[in-house]
Amino acid sequence: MITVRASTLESFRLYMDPDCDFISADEIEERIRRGQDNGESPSEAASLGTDFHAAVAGEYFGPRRFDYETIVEARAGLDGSLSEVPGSVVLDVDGTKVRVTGHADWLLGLDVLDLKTSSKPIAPDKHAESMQWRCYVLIFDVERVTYRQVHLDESKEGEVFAKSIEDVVMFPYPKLREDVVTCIRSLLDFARLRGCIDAMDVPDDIVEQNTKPAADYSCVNF
Amino acid sequence: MTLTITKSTDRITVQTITILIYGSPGIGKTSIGCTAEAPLLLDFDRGAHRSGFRKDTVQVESWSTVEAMTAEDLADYKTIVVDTVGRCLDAMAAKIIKGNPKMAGYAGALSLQGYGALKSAFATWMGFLASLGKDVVLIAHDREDKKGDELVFRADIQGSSHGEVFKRADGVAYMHSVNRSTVLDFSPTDRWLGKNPGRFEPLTVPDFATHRDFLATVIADAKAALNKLSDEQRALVEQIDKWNIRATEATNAEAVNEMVADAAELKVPLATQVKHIIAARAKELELKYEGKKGQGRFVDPAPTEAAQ
Repeated sequence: MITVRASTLESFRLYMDPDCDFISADEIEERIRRGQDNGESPSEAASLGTDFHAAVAGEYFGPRRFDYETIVEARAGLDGSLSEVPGSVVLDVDGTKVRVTGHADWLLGLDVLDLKTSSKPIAPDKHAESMQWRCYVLIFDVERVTYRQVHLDESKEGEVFAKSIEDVVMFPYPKLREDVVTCIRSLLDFARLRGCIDAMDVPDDIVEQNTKPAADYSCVNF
Repeated sequence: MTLTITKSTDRITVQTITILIYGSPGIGKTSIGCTAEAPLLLDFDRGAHRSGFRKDTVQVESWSTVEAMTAEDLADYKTIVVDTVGRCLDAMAAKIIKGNPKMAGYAGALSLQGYGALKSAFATWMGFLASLGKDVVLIAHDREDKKGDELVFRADIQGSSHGEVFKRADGVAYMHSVNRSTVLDFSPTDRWLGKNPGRFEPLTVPDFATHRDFLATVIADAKAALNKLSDEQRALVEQIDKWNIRATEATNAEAVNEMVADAAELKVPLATQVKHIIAARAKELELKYEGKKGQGRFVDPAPTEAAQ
């Protein structure tokens, strides 16, 4: 089945955005051909973000030092939530079944929380345009997606701390599914034009392997 | 004084909300603000006279006018309409610069530090209004930007304050004309930003002469939607808690298989979350899965030689 990662769809949206010039058509194609993994070794900023996620989840045992209060603040409201939850939803795009996959950083009930880290301030409204939260609404059937934007910095002593932590809440709206389908349609047109549509056709067992979380729960046939 | 504790399972009701409405001049933003419940219009823009539906108004000369307002002054009003939030922030910025000239950057605008102070002052004021139980309607003009060949519309709010206002607002609606009608649209599109707390379809703005409480109804509906969400969330979290407890108490494959069987009837979003809980527990117990998907069973790990 044609499979699209929520993160790939967002990268494609950014590529289509005339104001965004940091993602090229070649990069999108490369990403599709690599199974939608960007294929690059993570930058220092991305690596810090990954470590910070782990620290907030209480699962970081590496050499970085994180400010305790920052971790406490970033964890606010997350008690009892499930972390790194994979999921998928199948959408009909002009008669073609397309599976959209994604990972929720944290999921509890009708809420998804996505933790975003940056080394500079990011305008809270920037996330409103994202395809990622729209995909989360469809994948996890939630009623609220919160972006927790954490602006990180490092002290002279090498301790990582937050200069600011801000929550931006987004809600589903009536045409949300239509907007996601429209974006997928454009991505499929792009992939056909670039001759890489076959790379998006991922066998079901591979999808399951890629979305497997803590253990194999393929037995749970809902 | 006895401390009032709201239990995690108790309902927390949304009492007040903040709505941002933006649109082009003359579309009727001030008038729509006046259809909120018991509104007090803070006229920063000095344009209230143009509204045919004007209610009680404060002509704001400077931020000091607002600072002087007390809870008593606002007691008779349920909704504070800030017209426009762009001018309100300008007034706040002028006050900040007057108090500390170092907060000014080039050409009289705020410095980076000044924007930080503005953000903080705005948050404090919004918090003050919420503490008094007031709903807040923030009015803004729209600003046309170009995105490639397309025109996009944003609220005309200076600098990084735009993000701050967007973050604080529970709902954001773009007011515009469609085929001779005026529409209030809370949904985001690729041409404007929105935030839709009530899954509202685009709302046709009625004649205020006959619908004097239009915005009051919209705000009430938005609050009802948020409270319904809060209730549904609470009920779902209670169920997830029960599954978590059950998973903790499951100590072997048989107990986990029972959970799998019972979970088969669940629907999303609970199903996804219970699946995750079962998977995590199966991993902790080092259970193996044998058989085809949906037909097999978890089995306990083979005992180690030491255990034998």
